[in-house]
Amino acid sequence: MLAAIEGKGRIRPDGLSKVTGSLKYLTDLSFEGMLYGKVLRSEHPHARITSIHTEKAQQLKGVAAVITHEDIPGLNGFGLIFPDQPVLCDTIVRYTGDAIAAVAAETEEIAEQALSLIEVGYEPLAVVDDPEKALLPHSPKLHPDGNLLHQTSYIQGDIEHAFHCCCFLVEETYELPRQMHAYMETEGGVVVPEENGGITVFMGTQHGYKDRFQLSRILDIPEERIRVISSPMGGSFGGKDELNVQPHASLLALKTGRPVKIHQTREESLRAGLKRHPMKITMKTGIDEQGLLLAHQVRILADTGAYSSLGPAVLDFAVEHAAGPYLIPHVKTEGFSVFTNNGVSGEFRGFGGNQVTFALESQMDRLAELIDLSPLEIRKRNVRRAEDRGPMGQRIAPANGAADVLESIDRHKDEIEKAAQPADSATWIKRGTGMALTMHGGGLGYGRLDGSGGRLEFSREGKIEVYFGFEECGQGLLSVIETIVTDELQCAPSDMVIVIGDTARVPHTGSSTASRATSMVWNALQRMKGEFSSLILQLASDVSGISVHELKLGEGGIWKTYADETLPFIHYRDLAENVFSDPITVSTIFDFPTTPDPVPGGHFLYAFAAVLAEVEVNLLTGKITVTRLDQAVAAGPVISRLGYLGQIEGGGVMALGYTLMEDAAMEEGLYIPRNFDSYLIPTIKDVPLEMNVEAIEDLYDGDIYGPRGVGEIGTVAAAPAITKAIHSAMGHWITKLPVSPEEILSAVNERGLLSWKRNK
Amino acid sequence: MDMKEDSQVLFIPQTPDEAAAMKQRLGQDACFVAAGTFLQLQWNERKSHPRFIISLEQIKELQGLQLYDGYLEIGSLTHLAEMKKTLSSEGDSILAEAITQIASPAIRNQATIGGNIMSKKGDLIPLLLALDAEIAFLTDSGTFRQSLLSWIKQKEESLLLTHVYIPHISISRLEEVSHTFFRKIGRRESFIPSLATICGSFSRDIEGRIIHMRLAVGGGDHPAERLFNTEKHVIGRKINEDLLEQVYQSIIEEFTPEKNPFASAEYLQMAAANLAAAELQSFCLEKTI
Ligand SMILES: Cc1cc2nc3c(=O)[nH]c(=O)nc-3n(C[C@H](O)[C@H](O)[C@H](O)COP(=O)(O)OP(=O)(O)OC[C@H]3O[C@@H](n4cnc5c(N)ncnc54)[C@H](O)[C@@H]3O)c2cc1C
Repeated sequence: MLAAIEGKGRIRPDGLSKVTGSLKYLTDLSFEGMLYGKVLRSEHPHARITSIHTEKAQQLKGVAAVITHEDIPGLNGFGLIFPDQPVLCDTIVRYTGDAIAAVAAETEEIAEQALSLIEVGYEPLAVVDDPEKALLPHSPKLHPDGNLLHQTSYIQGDIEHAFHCCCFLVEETYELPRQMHAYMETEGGVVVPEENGGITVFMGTQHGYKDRFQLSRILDIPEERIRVISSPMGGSFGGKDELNVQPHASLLALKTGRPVKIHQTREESLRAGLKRHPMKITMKTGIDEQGLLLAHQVRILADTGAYSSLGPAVLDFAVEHAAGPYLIPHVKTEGFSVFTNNGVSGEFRGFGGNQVTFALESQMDRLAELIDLSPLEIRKRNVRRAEDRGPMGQRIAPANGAADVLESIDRHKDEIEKAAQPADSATWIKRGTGMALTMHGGGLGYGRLDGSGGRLEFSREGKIEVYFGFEECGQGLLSVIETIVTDELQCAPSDMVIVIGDTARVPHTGSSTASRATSMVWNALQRMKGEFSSLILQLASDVSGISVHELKLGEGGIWKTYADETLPFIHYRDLAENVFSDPITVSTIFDFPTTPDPVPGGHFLYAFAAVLAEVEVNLLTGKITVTRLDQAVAAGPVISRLGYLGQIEGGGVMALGYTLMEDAAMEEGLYIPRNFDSYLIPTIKDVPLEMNVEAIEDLYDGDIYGPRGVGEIGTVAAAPAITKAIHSAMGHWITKLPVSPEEILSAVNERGLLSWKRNK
Repeated sequence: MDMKEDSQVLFIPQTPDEAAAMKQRLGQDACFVAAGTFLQLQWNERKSHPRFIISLEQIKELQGLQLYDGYLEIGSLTHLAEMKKTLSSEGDSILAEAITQIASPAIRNQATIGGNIMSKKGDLIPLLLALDAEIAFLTDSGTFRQSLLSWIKQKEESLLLTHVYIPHISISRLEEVSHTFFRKIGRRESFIPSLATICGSFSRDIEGRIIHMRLAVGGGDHPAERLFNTEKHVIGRKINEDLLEQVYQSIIEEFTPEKNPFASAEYLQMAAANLAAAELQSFCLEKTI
């Protein structure tokens, strides 16, 4: 089934409070006696710390505490994979976001002033600002095991031999920038000390239990005494999955015995926060005389910055997706994730897929031109069929999504081509279209702990309470839960209470990452709904004497199956009065489905997307305007129509920024942009007036896994579609993002496209 | 007078004379603040504030536009949004169009034309140069009026700017054969600092000869200036492919912006020259009356 996503959907539960501004985010909270915290970060991208003097800061009136590495009771380190990032540095700083000290004071201004009174002695060290150089033998070692964080590969067939059999070869190196998540709400929140010696942490994260685990290690207090309230968040996109200022606020709260709020400014966030991995990807790809892919060689070099965070997993993902949805008999992919003194790279919507998809799809278009096939045709000839194996030879859930989205996007292309061109587009505006395709794995992958679950309770107040350990970060999770629960249990939104993002109340259901939450909520409901309904119906039957077979759950309460009534026969609230003992509780625990084949990190459930972009190239300035961005997405049934649309369109716009303007560029370990006046994200004026999203909701016969998440896929394939559109408009191939107007202008000059500047 | 923090003092004069007198009395340590939208960025950057702040926001007589015979008078404290509204309703589009490319609606509601000019970095300056604007300051001996062109060459100025005058004739002279343009090069569509701005105003006679030409550049850290050589080269001639090539080349030679982290000088030169050449070309390809 094909459905254009449009029209009015359900109003999201948090919609009104968000648009009116009444919603309190965690950074909006205040507590009595609350102090304000600030973190002192390194002046140098790489230096030895020779001294830290905090006396003057401590003596400043209004300062309650100043902490350094000496104040950390437990492990002075954090990191989702390896805890190699110091909470507060003691001997070495490895990037300008490294924290050295933190202050809690009566006001933010005093805290700020106190920071300026802390004296840190540095002995600057040689800065390693390029991953290629970092791998040279004489490069300074940033970590005990050297500068190579992670190396991985995938090899299939005999690449060298296969290249000899190719009719056409394309070899190219692509460069991808350091994108910032640019969430509206910067990192922060409040940590409140509790009487039992523990703390409550009100700070956004994408996995409350993981924060609790990491904090427990740092603070050396049992996890049970740490409560993490992690929702709602003003955006995350992967950027808040890792710890940021939680450790500092927690240490300060414990030291002062008072609540401590830290809320990073945009400048602090830019300097200290995670970014998308810059990558340099070299691909050599060959086809035979039919245009069939024969051989594909890939080298990925990722700049992971100063610390590990999720660097290894991002690289694994990129390596896995290097051949994308295409069947290629001979593949050799090698990936290297390298430490540098640049900003820390980590998790970001798309998770390494965006970078490698840009390279792969760019290769496909170049090959198509060489063999004179249309971009659609070369993809059709090579795309996987429903039951083919995954990109690393692993078994995956069969899906026809790749072919389906291609077919769908081709219709959009026809539409554009048939549409009359705007009458008098000036001679210095050139138009073009481009398309791209991708497949994107959901879940954490083979061999990674990826548990999930959920809990339903029928409370004493007669509410159906729904518990998940996920977070609402703007993606519309509440809406998803509400839709799934009301669909599956037939109850009304007003019958339910949703509880998420609070380790004191919710079960372990895993992270709100990797496009997994929607899928996990649906699966959890499938497991719980039967038992939960029958327990409630049994209770109703006990109370009324009517057989359970004649009763069903419905809006407001229990209804008789046979009667044509307008009101429930017994309201949930009335029924609850009969729950004398414990409330009815049903819970489930299960794992995200994985491939049976032992391919580390390999995925099992994939979503597919095809993108069509139309651009205008301004030959005078080299500026690119995207005039249309359509996406066809195959990710199973749509749960929340507006949520789906928001994810795909929003993802597309995020990718537009990635393609045309976003780059947290660095020079010698220092960020060039420092705020939103120089780090640019698109405004509404950069967004195409026309964006269409088409959802292909079919699942393959016998697919039991339900909806796949769409949190990431809208960002993955837009860049190569846009750059191909530029090529169609003026014949210039892009290899480096963001597209530089300067480069476009040189290409205009080379081609003599302006009459007053003919080639001379 | 209103005490702010220990060291900062805020003055709120009600008339231009009061404001000018205060500034004279307080000297270097005092700073006029209109809406403060430009200053706020500067203070943030330098992490320091001047000691005395003379807020101009209460001075009502310097707000608003007046159309006189032959020229338009704009009070220095007129908000950009108001300017745009009034000018659009008068049918003048180029200033209004330029204003829509400055900052954002919220900032334009506050920001003033005086602040835009006196910041020496405002996007309006090159356009006002192309329009032969004049400006007036309040001095001890009364109002002193001078061309914007002569003022931009002067060093720091501590006088109160009261009005901006735009010769009306340059906006609408011989409507059909004159043309004014404003082109700002930024890294995205809107809400973006200018990397370079090029503006021009030209007229041609019945035979297609250029009889009036102003070309001005600015933007980024480049001080606004007129491109006299290019102007001279064009005046009195008919536009053809050869002349366009020469115009392009001449702008490249005359406009020498500094490079910045986001654009090279060569790029800014080429883009500005292309924009101007394209304007000239389309101007002259229009039917002559
Ligand atoms: C986010 C942001 C984006 C911006 N984008 C743009 C942009 O795209 N283009 C652009 O041109 N500008 C931009 N600006 C700068 C600024 O908003 C404008 O230049 C505005 O017109 C300045 O007016 P103001 O009233 O705020 O000036 P103020 O900040 O109050 O003053 C600016 C300078 O002029 C002096 N001054 C002000 N009025 C007088 C007077 N009557 N007599 C003497 N001296 C005076 C002040 O002392 C100060 O030196 C932006 C600012 C911000 C914060």
